[in-house]
Amino acid sequence: MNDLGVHLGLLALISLAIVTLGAFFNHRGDDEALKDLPKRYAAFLIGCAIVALVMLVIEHTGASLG
Amino acid sequence: MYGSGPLDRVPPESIPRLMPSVRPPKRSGDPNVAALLTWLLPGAGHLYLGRFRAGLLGFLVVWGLYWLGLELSDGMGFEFLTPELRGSFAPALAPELGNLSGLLWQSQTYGFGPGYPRVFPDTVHIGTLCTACSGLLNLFLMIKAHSDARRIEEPRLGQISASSACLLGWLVPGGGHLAQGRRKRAVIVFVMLTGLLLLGTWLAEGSNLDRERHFYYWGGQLMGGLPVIGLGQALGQPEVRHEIPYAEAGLVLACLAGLLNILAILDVYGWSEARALEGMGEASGNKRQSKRTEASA
Repeated sequence: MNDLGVHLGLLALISLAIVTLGAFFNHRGDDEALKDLPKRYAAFLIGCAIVALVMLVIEHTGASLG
Repeated sequence: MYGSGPLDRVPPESIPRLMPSVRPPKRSGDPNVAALLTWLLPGAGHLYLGRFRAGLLGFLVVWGLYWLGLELSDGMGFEFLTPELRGSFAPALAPELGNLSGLLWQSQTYGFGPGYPRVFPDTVHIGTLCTACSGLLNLFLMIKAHSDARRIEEPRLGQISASSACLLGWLVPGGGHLAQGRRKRAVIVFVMLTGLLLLGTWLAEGSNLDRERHFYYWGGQLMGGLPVIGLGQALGQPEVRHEIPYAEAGLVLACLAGLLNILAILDVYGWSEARALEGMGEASGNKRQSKRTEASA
């Protein structure tokens, strides 16, 4: 597995922990929290992807070091 | 006349005088003041609430641990910080902040050392672990003082108090949930957070557990409780003689596991508080109902 793959895998794993704890914190019932988990996880990953995309665009345009 | 048992011979009107309340009414106070006083001096919040024994015990345990830590480390804990990080508020991000009087004592008495590098004593790591744990224990004492002042610390039968549940939640991720009877949540929290810690430690080859190397990240990891302390004691402070490819990723993972445990502890506290308030609501509802019944009779 290449370096990017490892980092993406770790991000996916760490995101799952963050989102699960967030869901538990926001819902009193376990089933309720687990039911809400896929939606929250997808929203979190999409949010991360948007931030990464914006950073890449900025890095290659306005804040380019090259 | 009153029956055949020993208690049945006692006239009913004298029973309240013969059997005083098991929990005599205690002096209450402002919860925020109680918590703040505990932060300033361990046990002071309980003294303010009139609970002298609890206050004295809290002071002895929390300050005793800090004193032991200072003795073992020769007060050199903050000398782990590199010179460029040694600002006035640099120690304020350490777990020792939980015991403010201890932190101020250490800063005033030992500070950052004489200004030149010195050899650390062999017991410096266990010593700094003691001072850090003293700070964290005082946070739970603050929770107890705050809950005691609100009178939500006395659990109903079969329940665990909020501060004890939070302490368990720190010691073992998911432990607080388990004590509250929330088994599914406890297992998920334990597997997730301990798994992250183990994966991070494996990726960083144990270098993440060294406070001398990662002063602030170590503080974040310590929120993971006994698994972190156990791993730290088992792996020690490994010498790094080669490049560790994912050292930083491992460090972040392990630190995040500790920080996420704070969220788990807050969840434990919120649940305990909600249950206690529900119980108080029920009790006051029952009182109101009985008053209404008496009035209608």
